[in-house]
Amino acid sequence: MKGSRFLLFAFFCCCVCSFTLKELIPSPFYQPKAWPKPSYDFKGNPLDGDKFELGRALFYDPILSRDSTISCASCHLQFTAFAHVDHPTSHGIDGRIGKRNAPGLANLAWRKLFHWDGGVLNLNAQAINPITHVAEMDMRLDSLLYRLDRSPIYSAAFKRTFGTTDIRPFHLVKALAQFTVSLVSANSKYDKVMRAEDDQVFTDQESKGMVLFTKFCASCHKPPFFGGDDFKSNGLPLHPELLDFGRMTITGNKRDSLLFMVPTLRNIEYSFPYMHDGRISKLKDVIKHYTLLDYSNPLLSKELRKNPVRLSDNEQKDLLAFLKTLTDKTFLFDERFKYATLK
Amino acid sequence: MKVVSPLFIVSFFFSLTCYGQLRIIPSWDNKALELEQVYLTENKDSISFSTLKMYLSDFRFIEKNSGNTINIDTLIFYDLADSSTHVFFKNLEISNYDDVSFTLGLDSSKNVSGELENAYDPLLGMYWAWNTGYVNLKLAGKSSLVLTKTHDFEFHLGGYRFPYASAQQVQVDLLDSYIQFELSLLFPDVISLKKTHHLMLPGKEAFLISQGLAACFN
Repeated sequence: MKGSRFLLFAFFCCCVCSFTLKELIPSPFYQPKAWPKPSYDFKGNPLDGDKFELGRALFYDPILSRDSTISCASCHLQFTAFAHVDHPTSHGIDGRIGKRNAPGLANLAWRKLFHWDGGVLNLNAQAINPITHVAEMDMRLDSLLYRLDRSPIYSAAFKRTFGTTDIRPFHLVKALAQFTVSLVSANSKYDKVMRAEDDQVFTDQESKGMVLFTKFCASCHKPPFFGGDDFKSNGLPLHPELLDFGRMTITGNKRDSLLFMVPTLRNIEYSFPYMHDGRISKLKDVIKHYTLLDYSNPLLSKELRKNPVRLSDNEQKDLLAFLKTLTDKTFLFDERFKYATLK
Repeated sequence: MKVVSPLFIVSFFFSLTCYGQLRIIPSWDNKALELEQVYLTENKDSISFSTLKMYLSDFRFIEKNSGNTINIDTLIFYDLADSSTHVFFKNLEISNYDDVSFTLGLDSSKNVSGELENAYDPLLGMYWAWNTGYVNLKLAGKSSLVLTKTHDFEFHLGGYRFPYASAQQVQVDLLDSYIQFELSLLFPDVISLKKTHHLMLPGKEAFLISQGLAACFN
């Protein structure tokens, strides 16, 4: 009798523990001190560790592409700041090549606009683009949902996390957003120096570089995000084959021709190649690009025209040293963002 | 002798069985439009339709005598190919109202809401992924007016940005429990298929055609 009571008690404890453990799975998202309030609508998709794990598995799973060869991670690798290292523009199924450089993913919770042309206004909805784009995953949403529904692992995961056996697009994109919104990078040397943490200080060269950055770059690449929802012309001419007019494609306004989103410089050391079409391979050459610009070009952004970037060779090295302080290795090698599958 | 409109007959039987509902009835020459049926334009050119999908939103029902109105802030998806999308407001006594106004399409706040559920579901085929927003109306088919090998035409009309926000305000008398959408009025005055047979972008052209579409409701 005592034994059966004990078993009953043990069963009860296990139930309580498993329930509590489920509640305790944390999302990696956090709000860095002194940063503004995120733009992401967390009320519409509350942070949930279980959904994060589902989103992470989907992010790394080529099941999202028509021929099951391309995953989100194919173009967004963690150790290169979730950008596509060494490829000027993104690669899709069947060797198809897109016309834009896959941007790094970090601090997306604070963004209102997505893609180089700002055509996407919502992080949840963003995932639909690469999934359905003919040059990327080229997958029909209804076919993908059918595929997920037929997968015992995913159908069970959606049932567990969203309480549904009828997987809809909004379930899929919310799960993916649980992962992407959690990619917070705020632990670089720059951040630690700003927080006066661990006795971190800039070297002389980094300090000089920060002065130059503040003078020449920060008006567009504003801290703490070092990029964001603005569109600027940095003087790159139209690519003769890609014919990408940037922001004008979305607004239809000729004044927006060749304007592209100001990319974040966080982890810029690792997110090569650079620019919207990946035409510059090395960071030092990006800096050189600005020093060689024709500042009489009326199409150049007003920030550049007002304040031309004139840097000596040594100053360019100083600036480069500062940019490298934006590397956040805890983010680049964070175990919680690594490849994973669902069990 | 006055000819009784075929649509009147449809709506009469409809009202006997479905009192209190509102129905959208696309038509060609006052006859209920059927997909893949070949029709003739005023100039005897052939035309048929394979797709007619649209969004209607922000309904306002008006009772003229009392001035009473009821606003229903909702988004309705209509697909001619799917009869389950043809009837709305099943719990509203439509006969109490004289006029109805609504938006053909979605306003900017609905376009950017990021909801993606129910009428916003991308599976309905109205979501524009590359430029966040929705197509207000999709119309596709074939016509001898289209001088290509396939004779196909396809219009995805939408866009919510100034100055070409293409959602249109429509107000019609509510004499019966249906709203007629007469497509023959589009050709050739609003849409010249010889000049334009494919349009997938927001802009001036989509805006002007959308204005013409709004005038097809009665």
